[in-house]
Amino acid sequence: MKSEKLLYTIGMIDEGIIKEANPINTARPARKHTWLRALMPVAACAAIALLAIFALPQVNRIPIDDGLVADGNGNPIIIGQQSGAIYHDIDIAQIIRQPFSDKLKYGFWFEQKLMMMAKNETGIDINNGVIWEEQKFTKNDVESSLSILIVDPILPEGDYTTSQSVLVDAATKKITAYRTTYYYFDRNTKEFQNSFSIFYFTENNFNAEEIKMMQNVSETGGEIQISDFVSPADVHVKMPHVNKLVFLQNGAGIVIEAEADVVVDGSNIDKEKSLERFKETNGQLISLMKSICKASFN
Amino acid sequence: MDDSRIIELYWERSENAINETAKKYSKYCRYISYNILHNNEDVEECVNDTYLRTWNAIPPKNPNCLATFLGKITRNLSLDKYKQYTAEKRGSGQTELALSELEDCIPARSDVEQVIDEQILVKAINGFLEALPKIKRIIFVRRYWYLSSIKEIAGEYGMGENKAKSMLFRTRNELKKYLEKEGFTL
Repeated sequence: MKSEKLLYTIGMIDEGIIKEANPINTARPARKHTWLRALMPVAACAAIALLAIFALPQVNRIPIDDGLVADGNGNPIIIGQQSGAIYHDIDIAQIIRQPFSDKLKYGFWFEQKLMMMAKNETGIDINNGVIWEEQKFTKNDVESSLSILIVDPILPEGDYTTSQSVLVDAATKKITAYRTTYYYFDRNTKEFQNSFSIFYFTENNFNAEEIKMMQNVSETGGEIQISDFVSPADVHVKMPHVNKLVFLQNGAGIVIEAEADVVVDGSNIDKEKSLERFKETNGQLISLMKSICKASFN
Repeated sequence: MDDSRIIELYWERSENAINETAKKYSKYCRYISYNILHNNEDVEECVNDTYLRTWNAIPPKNPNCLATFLGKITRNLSLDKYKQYTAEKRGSGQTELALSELEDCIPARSDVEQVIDEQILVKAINGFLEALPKIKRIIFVRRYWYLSSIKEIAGEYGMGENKAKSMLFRTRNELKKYLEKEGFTL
């Protein structure tokens, strides 16, 4: 068929032309019609009236804590408690990162490390039989899937957005870990500042001994002890600022991994400001972990 | 993770390359495949095959743009699968419509497939698209590269479906005339 040939041929057009029309990254809001714009004040008044009649009396009954965003089913998506933290619904691809070309060994990031520690009972070679998949989940999903109780972290102040993914067994499709990452960025420049990835999992799906060796947060008599940050192994050359806190309790694991970018002034790295940001990030990481642990013990 | 790092992972033969590719581009690949196949199971298969093909292709290939590299593989795999569909008379989605619309663009008097070199045709189409106004070019590519539905395109670009259809109709006619003028005729 000639049209089929043409359809295949169009498949080979210049990458720039294809990229320009990318529907995923270049989605743009539909232009509003003039007549629609004229009706907007009327629609707004009607919406307010309907809100007053139907929605407002229900507000106090919504069983969602302050700071939680509800998904389409009304379930809260874990984004923590936001005292001074402002959530923005933006694509993380819009956040500008500092370019770095450092060689980091596989397993440097905790999401990779967790894959390496997964109990591979399927015999699948690729990724140790598990794969991270982007997926929204709720606090209830984590609790019912892993049979653990979790507490919303108290998020650091600032502007942030989130992404979520789950670690899935490639053969059974069973979810064995959950990850939510909070990306902090400058509201005006969209420049990435730091991020905090919180992982929830249970030891029984992973190499428990190896995870225990990483543990650097513990609790004794209601007191939380934080020892040195876990140093990533096999790191060479310059690396991004990354620290992890690993907390295990009753077979459940919570890991928070923080990452910060250097502060750049023009084309130069501002060493002093960068160190300040790293120090602040470490402090925020510890506070985040404490907010989860303290609540667990109360 | 940025594309250059993902490509490096392929070159290092790190299996995490596939993981990172999936994290960043599964939505994009699924979009392309679903527009062609409209069947989640087949889409999943095509997208997974895309990762495998990419793993086998890099190295030696070193794509300039990972998204379109993946997109092209997904599109071809999905079109191939669509052919199986039509053979089994269970096809659906936008492909049939797109094919019938494009039928008119091909000069009718001879079998072009046997006459023109594929690469020359690609070059000609590139030249045609580059000369188009941006909005017409994007809408054409959305329709015939991404196989997006008219409804979706119209909605996204704030126009009625009829306007989108007539814009595509005019562009197809222009393409037909252009191809004839360039010697891809009859």
